[in-house]
Amino acid sequence: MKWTNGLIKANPLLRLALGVCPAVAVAATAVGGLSMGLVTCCVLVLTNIVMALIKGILSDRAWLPVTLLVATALASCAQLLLKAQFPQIEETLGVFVPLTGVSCLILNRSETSAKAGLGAALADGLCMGAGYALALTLLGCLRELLGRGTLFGWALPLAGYEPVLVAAMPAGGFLLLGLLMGLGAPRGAGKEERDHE
Amino acid sequence: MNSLSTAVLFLLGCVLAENIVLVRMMGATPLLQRAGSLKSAALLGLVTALVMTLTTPLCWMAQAYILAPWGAEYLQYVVYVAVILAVSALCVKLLSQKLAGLQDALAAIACNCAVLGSAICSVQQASSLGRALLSGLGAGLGFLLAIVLMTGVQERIAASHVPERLKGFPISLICAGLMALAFMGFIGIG
Repeated sequence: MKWTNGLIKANPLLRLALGVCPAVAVAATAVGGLSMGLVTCCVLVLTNIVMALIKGILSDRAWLPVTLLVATALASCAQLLLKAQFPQIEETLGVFVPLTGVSCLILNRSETSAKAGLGAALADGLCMGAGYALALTLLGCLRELLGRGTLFGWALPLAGYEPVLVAAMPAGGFLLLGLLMGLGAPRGAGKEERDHE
Repeated sequence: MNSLSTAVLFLLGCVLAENIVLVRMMGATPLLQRAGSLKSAALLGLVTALVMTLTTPLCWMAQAYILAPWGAEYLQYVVYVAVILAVSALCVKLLSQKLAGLQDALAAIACNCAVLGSAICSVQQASSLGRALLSGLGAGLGFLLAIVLMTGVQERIAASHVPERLKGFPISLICAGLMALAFMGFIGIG
């Protein structure tokens, strides 16, 4: 398994459909998508490191609860940090920062890569996190452009453009994510192949 | 208006207008990742609804009676996740003796952000324990409704021609988007 797979080939959002909820909820703007992606990336990398360090003393049954508790503790720290340093961003992301702790993306990665050792955990966490942030930013840009006619908050010189309001709403998030995923699907990839992931 | 009809309206609002999956966007992943038969989806939905009905008021109580008086709010999410893990492990253990197909459901329930999301929202919004219980029940029923609807849609998709590139997750997401669009019609109930 190549670690760089997480960027595009096995992109967590666009190929594996992990972490869909924040993508649909807060990636309605480019800034929302980018900041949510970065928060998730940090929590993912740190959780992977902690789990790789303590994997020797954990039994299989303890893996799930310990991963969730470690990730939630880190997500709480992330929320407190955001509240102190970037209160506006914290307000936009809201409940989805603590929800990173129970994200299936983190559980999935900790089960596959943190069990393989520290180096693997670090590399896979960074690539998967960066791939997730990239996909969220792309979706956020697309939704902000369609739904509000702006990009990162700047108005674009689009005279007479009528924003498609639904793109910025959750329903539009589902639709656009589905279309984006379909557009980016590898040629000839049937359902079996993606189910196999 | 008497208190019973207020409660029923509040519950209805939680299930439809504030549907946890299709309006508040939490817990969409189990709908997409765990495609199965209608029966297994309904079973997972029911157990998740039970866990949500129990954990939401428990987390509300933990916040109101333990964390807030002791000034330990910074621990709230860790405590909620611990409560959710304990309750869902207990439910899965007790119920899997009676019902088949629940053995590996712990991850799907505890790792569902709708369960934690419902607890956090009720702590932020509910003014009393009764309200917290109702909002947990409403969120749980909303999740059950969404997963049953989505599985029904998946069964219809499986029997129809879908463009090659949209097979799998993309078409499910597009259908979820159309369902979310339909649920916007309920805004204002409750």
